[in-house]
Amino acid sequence: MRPILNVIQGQKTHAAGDVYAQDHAFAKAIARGDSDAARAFTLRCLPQVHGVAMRMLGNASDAEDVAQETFIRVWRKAHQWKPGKARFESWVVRIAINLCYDRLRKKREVLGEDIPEMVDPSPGAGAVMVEADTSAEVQAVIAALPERQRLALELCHFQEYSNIQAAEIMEVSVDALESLLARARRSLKTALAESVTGLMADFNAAKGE
Amino acid sequence: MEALNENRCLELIEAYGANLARWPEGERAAGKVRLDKPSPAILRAMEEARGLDRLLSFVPLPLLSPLLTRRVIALYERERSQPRWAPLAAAATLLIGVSLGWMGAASDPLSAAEIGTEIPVYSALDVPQTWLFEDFS
Repeated sequence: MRPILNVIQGQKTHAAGDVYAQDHAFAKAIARGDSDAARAFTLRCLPQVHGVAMRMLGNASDAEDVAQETFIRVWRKAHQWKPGKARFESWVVRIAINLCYDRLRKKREVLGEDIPEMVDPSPGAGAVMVEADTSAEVQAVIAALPERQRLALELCHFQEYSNIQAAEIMEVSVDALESLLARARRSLKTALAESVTGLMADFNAAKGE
Repeated sequence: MEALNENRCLELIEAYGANLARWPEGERAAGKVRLDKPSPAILRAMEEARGLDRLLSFVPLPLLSPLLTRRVIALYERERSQPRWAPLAAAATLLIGVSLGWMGAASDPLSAAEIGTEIPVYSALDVPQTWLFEDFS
C-alpha cells in the first residue's frame, strides 16, 4: 500500500489533529490525480452521500444521480477545499445536500405545489399503517418529517456523525441541530405512539422476567 | 464527576435518545452519573426514548450498489484523463466563436468595394440602385 493511504484510510472518529491531517491528505491526493486516494475516499464517503440523498429524495434512482453528480464536483473541485472551515467529508456531504435541495425545488416547481411534509403528525398515523411491517411504518413516518428534521436525524442517528460534524454539514449551530433532532424525535414518537407503547411493554416484560 | 443537571439530561434524551454513546462526547460522563441516579422524569423519558430507538433500529441503511461505487471511481478516471486546461480551452473556443460571429453580424453585409463593383452591374440590368441599400429583413 502506498504511504498516502496509510494516512488517509481510517475511521470516522479521530483526534481533531489526525482528522484534519487526514482530510488534507485526501483532498491533496485527489486533486493531484491519485487514483488510490480517490478509490479509498469513495469507499469511505459514498455510503454517507448515498444515504443522505436516499433519505432526502426517497428515490433510489435520484439518489444515485445525486451521488454521481456530487463526486464529479468533488473530483473537479477538491483543490478548492481549504482546511479549517469544514472537514473535507462535511464539505462533500454538503454538496450532496445542496444537490438534493435543488432537485426537491425543481420537483416542487414542476408539481406547482409543495411536496407534502408532516409538520404536525396526528397521533393516529401509526394506527393507519397498522397492517404494514414495522420497518416500512417507521420509514414512512420518517419520510413525512420536514426536510431539515429528517436530515438532522439521518446525519446523527443513521450516519452516526457527531453533533458537531452534523451541525457543520447542515450549516447550523449545535443548539439548532439539537432542536431539530428533538422535534424530529417528538414527531416520530407521536406518530408511532402505539408502536412505541408496544415496545415499551415488551421491554418492561423482558426486564421483569 | 458532577452529574449533569436534570433539565440538560432531559434535553439530551429528547435529542439523541437513550443510548449514551450517541450523546455529545463531552457530556457523556456527567450524563452517566445523572442516569445512575435517575429522577422519575428521567426514567420516563429514557423508557420512551428506548422504545423509539428500538423502532429506529428497524430502519435499514439504504443498499449501496457496487455498480454505483464502480461508476463513481470511473468518473474520477475520466476526469483525470482530461487535461486540466480542457475546460478552459473549450470556453476560450466558444468565446472566440461568439466574438467572431458578433463582429461578422455587426459589419456591413456589403463592403464599399463590393458596392462599387455591383452598382454598375445592377445599373446595366436597369434595377433601381436604392434596392441595394434597403433593409429587407
